[in-house]
Formats: sequence, C-alpha cells, structure tokens
Amino acid sequence: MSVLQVTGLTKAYRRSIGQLVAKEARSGVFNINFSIAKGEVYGLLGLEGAGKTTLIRAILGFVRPNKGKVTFLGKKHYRILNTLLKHAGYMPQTYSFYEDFSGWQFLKFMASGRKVDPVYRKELTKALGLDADLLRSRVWEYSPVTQQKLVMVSAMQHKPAFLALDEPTCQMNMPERQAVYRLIDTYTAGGGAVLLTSESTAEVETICSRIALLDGGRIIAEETPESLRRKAIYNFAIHMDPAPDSSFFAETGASGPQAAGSSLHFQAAGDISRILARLQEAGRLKALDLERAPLQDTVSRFYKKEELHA
Amino acid sequence: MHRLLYAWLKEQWLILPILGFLLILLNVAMYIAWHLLGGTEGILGSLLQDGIEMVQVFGGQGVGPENLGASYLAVGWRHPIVVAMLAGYAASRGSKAVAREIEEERSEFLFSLPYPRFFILLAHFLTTALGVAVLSALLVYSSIYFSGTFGLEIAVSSYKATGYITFALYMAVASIAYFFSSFLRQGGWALNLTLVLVLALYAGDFGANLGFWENSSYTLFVNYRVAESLGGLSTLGPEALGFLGVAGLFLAASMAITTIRNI
Repeated sequence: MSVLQVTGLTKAYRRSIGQLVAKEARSGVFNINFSIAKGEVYGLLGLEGAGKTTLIRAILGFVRPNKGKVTFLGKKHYRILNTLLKHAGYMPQTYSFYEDFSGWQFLKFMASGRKVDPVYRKELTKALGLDADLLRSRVWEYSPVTQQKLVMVSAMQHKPAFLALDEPTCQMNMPERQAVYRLIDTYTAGGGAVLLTSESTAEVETICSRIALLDGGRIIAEETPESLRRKAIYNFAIHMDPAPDSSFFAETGASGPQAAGSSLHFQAAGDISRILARLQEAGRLKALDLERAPLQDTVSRFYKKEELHA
Repeated sequence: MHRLLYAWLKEQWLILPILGFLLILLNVAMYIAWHLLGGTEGILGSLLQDGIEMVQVFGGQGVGPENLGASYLAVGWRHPIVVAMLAGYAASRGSKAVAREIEEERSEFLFSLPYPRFFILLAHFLTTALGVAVLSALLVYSSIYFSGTFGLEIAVSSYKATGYITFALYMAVASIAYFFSSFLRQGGWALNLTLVLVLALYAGDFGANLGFWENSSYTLFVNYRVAESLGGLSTLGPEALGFLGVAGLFLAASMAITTIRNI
C-alpha cells in the first residue's frame, strides 16, 4: 500500500491584476497523479514557478484543490480536519519564527499535538550539528543554514510516516547537504516516505528513487535517477590541436559548436566517457572545462512541452 | 495545545504590563488632579470640572457633579487614551491571528500543526480574551481604589458590572479584527479597517450625544451608559450580552473563513 496517493489533483489560480477572473487558469498545478510507497523518496524537479510548492501545499491542504483526491495511508485526506498533518512532517521553503523563540522553544512549539521521543530528537539535532548551547539561543540569531537545519528537525522530530520537504537544502553547502541526505536515508530505511522538491538535478539524482519533472504545473515526465542521468547535458569547453571536425559532431551527437578564441564550446548529452574517448582520438586535448548544463536545457531538449500539454 | 497558548501569551509579555500600567496611571493622574490640587479648586481641578461638564453633554442625564463617582468613571472610560489603548490592543491582537501570520511567513508552521484551523484561531482568541480581561480588571480595580478619594461610596457590584461590559465591548472590537484578519493577507489592513470602524462608531455615538440623531443601544461606544448604570439609570446586562453576541458572531465567521481559505 502506498503511503501517499495523489489522483487528478488540480489547483488553478485564475485571478490576475486588472482581471478578476481570467477565462483560463494562468498558474497552478494540473491533473497531477503519483504515489509514494514506504521507504521511497519521490522528487519533484522543476524550475522556479513550475508549481512544486503549490503542489506540496495542495497536498497538505494549505490551499484548496479544484479537483482531485489525496489519499494518505489508504484513507482520504480531509483538508478541514487536517487529518494528514498528524502523521506528516513539513518543511516549507520560506518561513519566519516568533521573535523571542529559542531553538528549543521552536521545536517544542512544533511538537504541539504530536508525540515526540526526546532521544530521537536529540539524535536529529546531533546529526545536523545543532548543539544544546545553540538551541538555547534565539532563533533570529541563527544563520539561514542553521535555521534550515532547525526546521528540518522540527519536521522529523515526531517520526512522521510522511515527510514533505520543499527545497530543504537550498541554502546549504555540500557538507551540510550530505548530513541532510544521510538523515533522509536513515528515515526512509525505517519505512518513512518522502516528497522532496528541488531545482537541483544533482540533488534529486542523489537521494530520490523516482523523479517527476514538473513544468508549467504539469508532470511532463517521470524518471529514475539513472534515466535522468542518461539525459544529462554537459557544456564542453576544449582547447585541442587540431580542432575536431564535423565527423566528430555527427558521430557523438554533440551540438552547437562555437569557437571562442583558441577554445571550442559545444554541448553533448549522455555518456561523457564515450565523448572524451572520441576527443582523444581526434587530436591532442590541451585543456578541458566540463560542466553540467542547467535544468532548463534538459527540459527543452528532451521534453516537448507543447505535445505533452496537449 | 498549552504550547500554542504559551507562545501567544509570551507574545504579549511586554505590551500587557505597559497598557495595564498606563490604565492605572490614568487614575493616578485624576487622583492628583482632583485630590492633591484641591478638588474643584485650582487650574487642574477646574479642568477636571470642565471634563465633568463635558460628560454631562456627552453622557446625558444622570452624570454630573451630583453623581460624582459616575462622572469620574465616565471621564475615565471615555478618555481617548483608554479607548485608544483598549481598542488598539484588541484590534492589534485580532489582526495578528491569521493575516499577520501569513504576512510574516509563520502561517505554514502554525497551520501545519495537527489541529483543525478553527481550533487554532479559537486558541488565539482565548489569549486575547485573557489580555482584555486583565486590562478590564485593572481599569475597574484601579478605579475602585482611586474613586475613594472623591469621598463617594459606590457599590463594588456596580464597578464589577462596568468591568464586564468593558470586557464584552472590547472583545467585540477584537472579534471584528479577527474577522478582517481571517480573509486578508496583511495584518496592517485588518488593524486599520477595525480602527476605522471603531472611529466611525465612536463618531456616530458622539453625534448622538450632541443631539444630531438618536442614540442606539448597540453601537460599540456607548460608554456613557456605564456611567448611567452607576447612577441607577440603566441596566448593563442586555448591552453586555449584545456585545458578546457581536463577538461570538464575528468569531464564528472568522473560524469558518479561516477553515476554508487558502493560506
């Protein structure tokens, strides 16, 4: 049985400035279907404005969906009674705190109406490097990263069956991200289910078992980390003698070659090792600069939005 | 649940003592003006006498030098500072409930707690009720203490009755702020709309006292009736119930709107 099942969920925003009710919905999420099983991390990958936050908020009941159904542990979620939230943890993307709260006070506030095991809470704070002295000080004095860690603990402290994380590591550096990933791993190993949004392809590839690509409020594709990795686009900047000829581009599928001074820029997707091997065959590679292209490039290259939206 | 109440009471830890102190100070100022500077003699004393005469105009029959205690209370209650303090406090609390929580991006924490939304609003309203009760009690008991300086004995039950109606009146003001707060996204708008309404009602009451139109029993600012009641001219019960009815109505509407609205 899935922990969370979302069926035909639609939340459309029709209002716009100067036009009380627009004929067609301008933004929102449309006809969303997916389910999350125990122990699974389901990723929502999309650019800003794709509808990730709206979808999470519609699932949790912060906004009223126009259509669709959310089933949690086999039972329908009734928004008015907040039935889901008793067993769910939520980490919003933007937030602020009551001014005088210390870290401990905030955690206790968020434990209202829930059973919290203090030993487990301590494990969480320790895993994210929030020591007792820090938790006694005011939340407003924390750095944004520390605040984010605190909110992460508040979402997990009652061992929820389902965790909704809206861009949980967007302000963090790699060591902090890795601590969060380890925490999520432990949580899912214990049977928890996670819905996670992100703008980072690398992040969802690292921790998610399935990834929905969201664009314009619609799920345009569902991928696994492996299939998404195969579609990754890389930007190459090379300096080699002689420069690769047109046969290189024809054979490898690399595209958009542009000379910039003594270097050549192009894009290629898929297996990088094959392209690197072919480059070495083509001549002497003096310098190589390689980076993963932004998500937008992947979306526009691999997913034809017009067809999918039809 | 107690953690919610604790958070919202903690929010008021500074403003409640300040307002309470100012309410007592108001009585102290009147005490100094009346008693230490020679009753109706002296500049301040005559100013106060003028104030009492104003009360006669504003408050109608039953208020005046012949009923000094009632006049004293009427001056105290009608004093703009008291109105500003209590109405401001009540409106500000109400505006913080939902609109300010959304504006300051705390609403997603608050409404992700496993309680129905109307329950969360009710808890907030309870902390406001506690604050208004404390301020009303301070106003009444400091009045009891200082009115002794006028040499008049007024039954404690009358003072208590004025406390009840003060409480009911300002809970009605608070509930209107809760109502605005339940569908607006900015706390400032909820606060300002409530205060505009309060001022309009006050102006309506003022106009009635000057004889432009008939007095209504159920405007929000019929404070002079408090003084009338101390003079034995009217009963407070129906009006207090009226105010509480207004409070209940607006609170119920706020709870319903908060439950269905998009946060």
